[in-house]
Amino acid sequence: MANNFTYHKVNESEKEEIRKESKTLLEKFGKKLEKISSKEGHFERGSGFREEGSGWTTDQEFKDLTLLNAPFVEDNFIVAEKGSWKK
Amino acid sequence: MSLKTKIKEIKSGKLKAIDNVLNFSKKIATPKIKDLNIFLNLNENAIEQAKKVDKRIKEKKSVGKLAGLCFAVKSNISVKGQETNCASEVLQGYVSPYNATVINKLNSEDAIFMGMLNMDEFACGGSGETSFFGPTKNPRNPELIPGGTSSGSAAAMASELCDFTLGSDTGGSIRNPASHCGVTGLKPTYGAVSRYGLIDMTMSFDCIGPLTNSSEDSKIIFDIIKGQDNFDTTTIEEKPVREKKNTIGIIDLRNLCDEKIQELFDEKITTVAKKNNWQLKKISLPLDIALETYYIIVYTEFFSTTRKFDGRRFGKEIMSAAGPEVIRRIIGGSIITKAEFEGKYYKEALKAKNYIKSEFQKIFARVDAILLPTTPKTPHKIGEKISVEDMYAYDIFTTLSSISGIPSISIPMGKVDEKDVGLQILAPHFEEDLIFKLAKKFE
Repeated sequence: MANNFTYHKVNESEKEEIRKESKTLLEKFGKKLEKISSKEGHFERGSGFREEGSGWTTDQEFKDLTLLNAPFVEDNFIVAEKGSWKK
Repeated sequence: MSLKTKIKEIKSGKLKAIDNVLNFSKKIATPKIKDLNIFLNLNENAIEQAKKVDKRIKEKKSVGKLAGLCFAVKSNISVKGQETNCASEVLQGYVSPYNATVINKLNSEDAIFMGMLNMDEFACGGSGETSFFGPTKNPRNPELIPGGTSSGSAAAMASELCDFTLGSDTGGSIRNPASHCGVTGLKPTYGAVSRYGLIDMTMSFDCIGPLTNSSEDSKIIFDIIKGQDNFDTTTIEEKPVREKKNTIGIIDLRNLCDEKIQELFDEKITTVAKKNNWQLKKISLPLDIALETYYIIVYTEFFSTTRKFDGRRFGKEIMSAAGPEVIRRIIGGSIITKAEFEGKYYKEALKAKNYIKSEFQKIFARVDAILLPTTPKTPHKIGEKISVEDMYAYDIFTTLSSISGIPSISIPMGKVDEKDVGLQILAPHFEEDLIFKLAKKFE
């Protein structure tokens, strides 16, 4: 059995439907939050600066796996052409 | 068997690490377990690692604090040399070139990695149904959802396939499946455990945490994986000193959850409070804005973090390969971040987040901890029709601790209509020890 959460490829018309639903949902959510009168917070830590040290050396395995994961590789370079996934 | 007892038995030689691995491996390989769709990949080197631990024990050499214990992790936690695919076609075949800090910590204590666990795709969901590799089934009742997004992590514990598992929790993703599967799941304080190596969903909420069979076991694992990490600058170690009031906060649950869950919850907390001389104090939580605040921030940050999935350096382009809930969050985030909505949704959510944090500060000035059910309703059947809002509604009791960054645990509370339900304990930042202490009173 499948519902609208179980995995399936999402076609363009379903994406459009999701877009409309999302807009409605966000409008609803946003309206609820309008009444909150507070400031945006940020958190400052007085301590805990990162020690730079000598850094982390990548090993050959790291490099090999990184190149293995890439769709197009030439020597030691990943060839990352924009839009290439459309081919 | 508790982890404490098992560690003792392994270190004394009474139980061999290799037997521990083989016992679990045999179970994992059975058709009944395979049908639950819990594991995505298994570590082929587990037996070799176990042999090394046994050899060192035999030679009376020192071994780590978790020597011989078997663990598995959610598929969004990077394990070097393992496919770390976030249960998505987008990262199918992606092999992690490095270990997450938590993995390095567990390895250095001689715990044995068993494999990668199923989850909701990119940690988007809440039921365990959105995985590209198919839903995980609830071991307590395979017709039901196990919960999510750490579905495999909870199901593995419920099926006794590991000594412990790791999951990630953004808005309830450890606690929700722990509740539905009848196990214990801890969401630590944000910043207590390094997220280095976690493929993030919402970077300002995500936490890595353990799923175990008890709060005592949870403490053992938490004490190993916590700590400041130079690779994650949001981590910090703190030991707060706070005078305890022996007072626990509870809310009026009428109209907020299933009546039977409310009855069970009331009965449980009254019994335990009486036994321990706790004063139960009625408090008010900003539940009316919890989901709205949470999901606006989630959509925004998820949209941002998924820009890297363009298929150029690894994996596939996300919009062409992901499932509906991932797409929904990306589209939602792309709407929120449009210039025309500047100052609207996201800024309002950040203000609400700050408001929620300050509300918890006021509450914890009056009470030591807060008790809540983990979920407002019992798990639905896999594939059952459910609206987006109803799915999100599972998170009503878990999102507030995520928004404010405080720790919370879900422990088994009992059953309603033969379905497992969890009880949640929330505490102030870095007071996990208080959570473990209180949880033990319920076990």
